[in-house]
Amino acid sequence: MGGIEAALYFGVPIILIVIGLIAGTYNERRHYRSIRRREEDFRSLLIHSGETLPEGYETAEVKLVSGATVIAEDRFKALLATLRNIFGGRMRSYESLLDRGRREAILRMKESASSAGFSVIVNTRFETARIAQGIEILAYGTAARKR
Amino acid sequence: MLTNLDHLPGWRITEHKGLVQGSTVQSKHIGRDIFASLKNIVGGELKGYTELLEEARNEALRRMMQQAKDAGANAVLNIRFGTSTITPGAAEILAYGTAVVVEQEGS
Repeated sequence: MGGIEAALYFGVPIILIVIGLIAGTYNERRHYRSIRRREEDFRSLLIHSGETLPEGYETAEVKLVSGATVIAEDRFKALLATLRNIFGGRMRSYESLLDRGRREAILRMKESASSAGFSVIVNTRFETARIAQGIEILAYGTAARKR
Repeated sequence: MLTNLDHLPGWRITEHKGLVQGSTVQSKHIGRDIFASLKNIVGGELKGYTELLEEARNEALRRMMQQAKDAGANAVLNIRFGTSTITPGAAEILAYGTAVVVEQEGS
């Protein structure tokens, strides 16, 4: 293997991992800022995981609402996960990824409920599925209006 | 009316019409796939896939509602979703629930 070939063989993956680390970390910070800001905006829209609709809500019309996102790990997170797989234990790099995804799904569900005038969501459920190169996170529940 | 509750608050179930379901098998197209591979370097949301699955889920819900309508129901209770990758290039989206006839309490 010549010098140039070797440089390409090892260099390209390393460059992609470094790009992943920088861009991925930047994206994650920006995403968390956006999540925190929007969570503040939607604080008044309560979501429950229980089935009971609290008193004082309109029962004439309820609606199934959902929010979903497909998120992907960056190259650096993927590398950390590969290393982590050798020794086992908690995969912090994926914990934050799934946390972001789930909070984003909740926010989208709240946005769709709020834009239709609903003010509470009950029986909230989550689904997570690995599809292609990403992870799909779905949140859904039943929305009702204030009486 | 659609809900994932096992009852409708304020409504009385007068008739059960059984399980109804709708599903779609959605494949991604190659352009989105190439974009997704690039996005995999830096991480973040794969917006193309999010939209694709959103459409697929709405279609599955529509098919489920059609079944419920054909059975003469006016509501579907206890709706659940499932997503599974069935071949490397395609995902199945499933929506299912119980079709019922409901009438408002006190009417």
